[in-house]
Amino acid sequence: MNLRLSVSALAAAICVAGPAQAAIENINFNGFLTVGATVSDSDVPYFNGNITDDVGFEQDSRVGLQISADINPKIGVTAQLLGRARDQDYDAVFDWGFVSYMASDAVTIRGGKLKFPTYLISDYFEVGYAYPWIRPPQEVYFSNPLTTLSGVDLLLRAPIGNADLLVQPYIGTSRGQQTLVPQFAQEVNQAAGDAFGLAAPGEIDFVNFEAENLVGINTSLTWSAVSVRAGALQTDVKAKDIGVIDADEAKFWSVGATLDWQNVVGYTEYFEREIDGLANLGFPNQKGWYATLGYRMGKFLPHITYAKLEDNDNPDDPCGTLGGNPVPCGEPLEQDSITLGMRYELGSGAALKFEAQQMNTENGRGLFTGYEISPNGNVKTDPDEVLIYSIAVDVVF
Amino acid sequence: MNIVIRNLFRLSLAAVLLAGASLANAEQVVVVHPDNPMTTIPAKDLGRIYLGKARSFPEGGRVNPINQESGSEARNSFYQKYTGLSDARVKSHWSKLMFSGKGNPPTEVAGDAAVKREVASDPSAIGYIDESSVDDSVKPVTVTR
Repeated sequence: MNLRLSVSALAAAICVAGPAQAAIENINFNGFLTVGATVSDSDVPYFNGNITDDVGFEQDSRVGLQISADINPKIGVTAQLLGRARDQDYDAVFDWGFVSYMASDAVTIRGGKLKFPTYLISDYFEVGYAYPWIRPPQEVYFSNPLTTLSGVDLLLRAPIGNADLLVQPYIGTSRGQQTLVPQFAQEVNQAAGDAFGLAAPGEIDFVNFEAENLVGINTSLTWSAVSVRAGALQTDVKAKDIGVIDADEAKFWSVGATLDWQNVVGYTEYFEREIDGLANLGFPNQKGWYATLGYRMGKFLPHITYAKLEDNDNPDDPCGTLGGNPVPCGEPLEQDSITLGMRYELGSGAALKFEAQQMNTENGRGLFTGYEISPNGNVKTDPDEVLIYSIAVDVVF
Repeated sequence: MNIVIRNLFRLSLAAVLLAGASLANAEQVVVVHPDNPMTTIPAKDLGRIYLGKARSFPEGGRVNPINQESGSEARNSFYQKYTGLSDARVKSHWSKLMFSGKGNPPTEVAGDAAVKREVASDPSAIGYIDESSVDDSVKPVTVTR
């Protein structure tokens, strides 16, 4: 297990560095861990291909380790290592890390690899213990394939009446991977004269992309029981895998609110994204929303979520040309789902969760990213209705 | 002889009741470093400090909150009183801040003696201990509504 190696190497590095860096005080080690199992009633893989009709542990299981240290009262460093079961057996990656300078109570500047503040819980997306669901609603959280940003942000804080205001502008670059809808990718590949070199049928295609000139802002206003946030970003996307060499402009905005009043827990968010040009093929215009309502009863938190992913006026074909052939625009994914969940507190710092999710795909695809060739040679279309059951234990330490 | 035993029994019963009553009445006291000029702190500010929403004393100056041990009765009743949150919800709150790199929870120590040591050694510290543990090493402050 590489994680253990990396962690001990890191610990060794810190120990070696220790005496020389006597100025460092308050080194904190913290961690989080999720062990989760999933099973669906469809043989067509869901999401990144990790949920199928065989009981699997790949989708949700992960472990993270955070190290933070104060260089002095104003300057600190924080970094997180993350190992996910779906990334080759928990190979740990340096998920994010930054150095922060607290100029005053109101102003902090951070630089490095930052977690992308796209949504309410994007900052701690990997820390299952910190939210009610096993998986945050994918119809919304799936829509921004950027999870981290290399750059700089500002955390500007101010009290306004009984509320705390946070304004967080950021600038930088990012890169990542997006899964292609495979049936659609095959069609487009044929239309473009096999220009993309796609994976074999049944395999999942990932498009690597780069986001440059990324600028955005995240704002939130937090009262004791209610919090609202809004954010917007703009970036230039390049994706050489699908021939997007000249950057295409992408715009994204989202709003959301949370409620935690007495025993009532609520979350709701809405987003829209728009991508011009050839990049639209991999990232079609989408919009989506969800709402979650829960009621805390002692250690139990039963909750229900409705989520919907839709077309956001995607442009008419073609969206560009490749090798002289017109390339169609992307195909927006459409689905909705209802999730019934239960969170149970296992003492302090641990939670057990169950979920049953009923998904309906509009055009037989939704977020199902795999497909199979049936014995007669036809591509099996995705099912219209799928049930997914999940169980997970989340721990922080 | 019988009378002596009966009286002893009554005495011990009274002692048990008294001990029980004093436990139930055990008052938590908020303490700061003796050099800290502060004499009162609003309950709302205290709650904000222990949730990481405020990083300074109401009058200014960096604050270093000291917590009792996780799961201890002292800590649970302190958070319940000043933030209205249960232990699990406090833990969840700090998980969000900590794992997004936006703040670390207060230093945690076990017992009143350890809290006093921390507070006595740091002019920016604040802590909470049982009334009976207060001595010259720390200064009690009044929590105002």
